[in-house]
Amino acid sequence: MPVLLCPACGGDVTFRSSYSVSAICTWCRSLLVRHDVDLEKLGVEAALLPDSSLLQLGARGIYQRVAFDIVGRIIVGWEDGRWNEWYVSFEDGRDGWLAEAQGEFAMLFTLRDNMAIPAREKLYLGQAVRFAQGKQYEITDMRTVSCIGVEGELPVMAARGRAGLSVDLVGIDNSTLRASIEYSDDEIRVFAGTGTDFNSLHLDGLRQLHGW
Amino acid sequence: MAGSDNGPPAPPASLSAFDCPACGGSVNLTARGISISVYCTHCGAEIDANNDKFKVLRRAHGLEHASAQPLIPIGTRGTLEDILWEVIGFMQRSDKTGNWKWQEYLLFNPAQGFRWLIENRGHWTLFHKIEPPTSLQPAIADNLLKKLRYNKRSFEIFERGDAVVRSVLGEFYWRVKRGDKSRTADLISPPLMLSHEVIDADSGKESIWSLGNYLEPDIVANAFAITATMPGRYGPGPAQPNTRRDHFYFGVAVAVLCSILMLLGRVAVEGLHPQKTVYSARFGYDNRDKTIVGDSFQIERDTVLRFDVNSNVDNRWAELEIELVNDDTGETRHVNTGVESWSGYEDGYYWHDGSASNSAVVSPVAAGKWHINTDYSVGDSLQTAARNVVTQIKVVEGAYGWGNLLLALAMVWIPSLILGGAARMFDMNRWELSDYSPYQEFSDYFE
Repeated sequence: MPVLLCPACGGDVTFRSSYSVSAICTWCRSLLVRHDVDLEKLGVEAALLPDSSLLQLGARGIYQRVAFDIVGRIIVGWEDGRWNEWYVSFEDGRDGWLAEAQGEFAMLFTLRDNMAIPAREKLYLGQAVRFAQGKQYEITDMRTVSCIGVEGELPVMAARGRAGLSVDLVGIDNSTLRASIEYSDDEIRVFAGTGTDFNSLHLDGLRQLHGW
Repeated sequence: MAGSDNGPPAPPASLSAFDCPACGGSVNLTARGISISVYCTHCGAEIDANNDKFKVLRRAHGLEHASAQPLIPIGTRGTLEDILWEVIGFMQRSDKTGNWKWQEYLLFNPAQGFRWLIENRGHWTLFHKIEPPTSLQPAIADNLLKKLRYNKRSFEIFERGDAVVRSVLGEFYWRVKRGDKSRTADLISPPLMLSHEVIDADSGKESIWSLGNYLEPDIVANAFAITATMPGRYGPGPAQPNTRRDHFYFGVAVAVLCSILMLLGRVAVEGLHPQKTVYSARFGYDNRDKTIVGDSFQIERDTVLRFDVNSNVDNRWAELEIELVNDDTGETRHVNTGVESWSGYEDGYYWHDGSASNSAVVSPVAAGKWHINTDYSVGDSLQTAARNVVTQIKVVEGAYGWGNLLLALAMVWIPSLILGGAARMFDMNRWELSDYSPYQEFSDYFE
């Protein structure tokens, strides 16, 4: 697991996920992009808004019998709220996104193959979409979102303010299946996985929340 | 974990509290990062808590804030289903007319998320959000939807209606406002309830499904250390379990067991001690008005004796005064029995009265040697003597009647029947509040 030095403050910056391309230095909050063994500073990220989440960088959990570490976070904001997308690195080398929204959890995996995705303008609630091994999904939510906070390491250049359209989908015959499509100016990203819950994740190394 | 084991958990220092920009009072913000609207508990102003803006969106006007104060204050903590919850929001909603109101408490736990604790006519139900149980059109739109299967249970439609927000306090994770309307449908499978709500939001129709579990009021009172009087329960709640039915099933199980044992006992007794004629005699006209001493007969074990009398009386009568005498002890029992038969024609119609056979029972009769002394009399008619009347008597041992057994069975079954009736009354009362009562025909009959 490579440990590099922050060019701004000299602090340690670790990369647990082989997919990570950027990191926010935990010491000085510089936004760093990874070039092989070098780190380049692009800017400084403001402190994150406080919340009541028990999850934090360094926490560990288990999903479908494979252990994972929480290594990064994107706070996604929309008109009427925000939620956390925790970037996780699995023991078996995979990476994933643990979505935490209004007390509900879902683990989604980036689908890195090319596939047919409906055009942004043609989307509507209730629409049926087929991908990820031919499974059928139904659009349950569409909202304009933007990145309002980042920390840790990330597989994307998640600069604050980066806006897009986030589409949530649920399996048509199996409501445990979840999927997500993110439309932004330069790319479309697709994710698929399942809903899960706090108890099933067997989380460890959680944050001590004052009063709980 | 905050709170000690002695007494109710003390209200904790809030995770975050801020000063209300409208009135300066301290306002709790427990579900930080999730709650976007907070209604100040002091002045009722709506404050934007999204991304910590803390701006007043709307002040409360007139008596809006004075309405409905929650039985469980905002900030109270309590343990339900082994999880510690904090009441962070409170909402009072009503039907379209505003006549029928109910209370909703938003509960929060940082790990477990949210629950809704609803109090309606004194009945408490704890709800959590679920994924849609059906891919069918929402139950609201489809007025034909009467039943739904979920988690191997069958849910029946109980109610469809509207919900209007009347008053709000505390934190909410959506932009709730007084006056917000939604369409609701409730389906029941006591103690569970499936609730569906369709909200007309700016972004379109939002459909929310939740599953509720009925809670006894004292569970809620103990969990949140409510010292005030709990609201009285009005009739059975839609999701209230019918404990009378459970008692009924138990009663039936006991009755069936007892019945089987009693019948088996009776069969055993009949098998071990079958009926047997131990003595018989015939009496004719010449035996009348005399005491006839019969031959002795042996009774092997304690028993019940039945005296069967048969006769060919026709518009006559015959009577027997019998003395049952024990040869050894001299013990005497008396049995009187008789037969009569009357018939004729009146206005061309045939009528008949009386019976040509009869029985009498002596019980108990000890084992031993017995004989009977019979005083026989026959009734002459006005025209002719009863010369042709012949009366036969048989003494049968082991003649256990069915009377005691039937009485015992009744005693064992009557409680079950009463419980069954009570259980049915409970269910009928439950459905009285529903437009979809399966007892509709019954109530129509009385209207």
